[in-house]
Amino acid sequence: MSELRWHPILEEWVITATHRQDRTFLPPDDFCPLCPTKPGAFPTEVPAEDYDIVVFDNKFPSMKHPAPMPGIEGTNLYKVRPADGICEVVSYTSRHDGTLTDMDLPGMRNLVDVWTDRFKDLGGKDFINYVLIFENKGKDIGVTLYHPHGQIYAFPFIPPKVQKELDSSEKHKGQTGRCLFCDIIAEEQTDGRRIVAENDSFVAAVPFFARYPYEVYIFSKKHHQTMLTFDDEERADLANILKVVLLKYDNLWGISLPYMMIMHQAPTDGRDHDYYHFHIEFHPPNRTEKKLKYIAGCETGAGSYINDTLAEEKAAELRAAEPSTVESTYLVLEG
Amino acid sequence: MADAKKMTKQEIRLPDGRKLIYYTFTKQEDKKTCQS
Repeated sequence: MSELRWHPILEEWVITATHRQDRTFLPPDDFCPLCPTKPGAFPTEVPAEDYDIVVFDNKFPSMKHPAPMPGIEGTNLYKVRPADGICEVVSYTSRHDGTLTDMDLPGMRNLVDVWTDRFKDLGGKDFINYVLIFENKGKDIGVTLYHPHGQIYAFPFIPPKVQKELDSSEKHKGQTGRCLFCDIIAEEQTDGRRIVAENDSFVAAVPFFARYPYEVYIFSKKHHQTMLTFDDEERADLANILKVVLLKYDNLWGISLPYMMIMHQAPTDGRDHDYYHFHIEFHPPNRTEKKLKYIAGCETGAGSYINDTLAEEKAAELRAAEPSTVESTYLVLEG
Repeated sequence: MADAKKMTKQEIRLPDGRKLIYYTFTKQEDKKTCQS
């Protein structure tokens, strides 16, 4: 059962997907559904002995197309609509062990191409208004499969957080004539204390307004709305800065740091969103090596985040973590 | 810099009707070797 239920107080859609209660949960390594199917062994989701990168429809989707009719009748107040969308799984590699951090730079570059292709394909469908590419990494985030993978949710509506960003960006453009994100990048570069890494095309920073201690935004330096307008050099630079940020995260305490990675791009609703700006958000739950920041009463109940740390100090820690300089990042990554 | 490789897609349908796409990447040097 899957349907969209309208939240009349917050004015946003809630996805009800009861079948997901039964989804695969941390299976033993021998029964990983994202591994290739080896001869005579357990048949996985992928009927091939090997692969580079594979994408498939989620077996337990929050949304699907065509969507079934809602199982309940709506009212004027409590609107319902079909959860008509697409949920895909992106398995980064056929190797079960490791994480995205362990992918080599060419593999990361390939993944950027796959993300771009999926964004173009899904965003081109007339019933899809927003394509969200994301990854939940680590048990502390609630992953149900250890195999390195990400997800793509193609929504029939623009999700509320993105809508809020669109509204603020449009407002800023109207007031100043400039892109909100371009101004944020300029402010971060002028100050410099919150910059974590940078290359020719992207800059990574713990932003002034960080809500999580080790929150990092990766901004494209050029004013792109989506990945679709990146040239070859920018795609390579994106792979590079992703690898740098991921290495820094893991080298911070010598652990595989859990995170939520979310790619924010313009909607695919056919409208012009030239005031919006491509960026990737990382939200690691850790506030120390062994302590987590919980989304608790104030955050969940009031929507107000409390960050127990200073962005300037956390950025300095990440900047010091290896690879620690731009020069060394290129040396390390190019081998 | 990591150079772009030739990307090919192969889409199949799983027995339950779900879509699955294999993305395969070929090095340009490999391509030349195959052609020679």
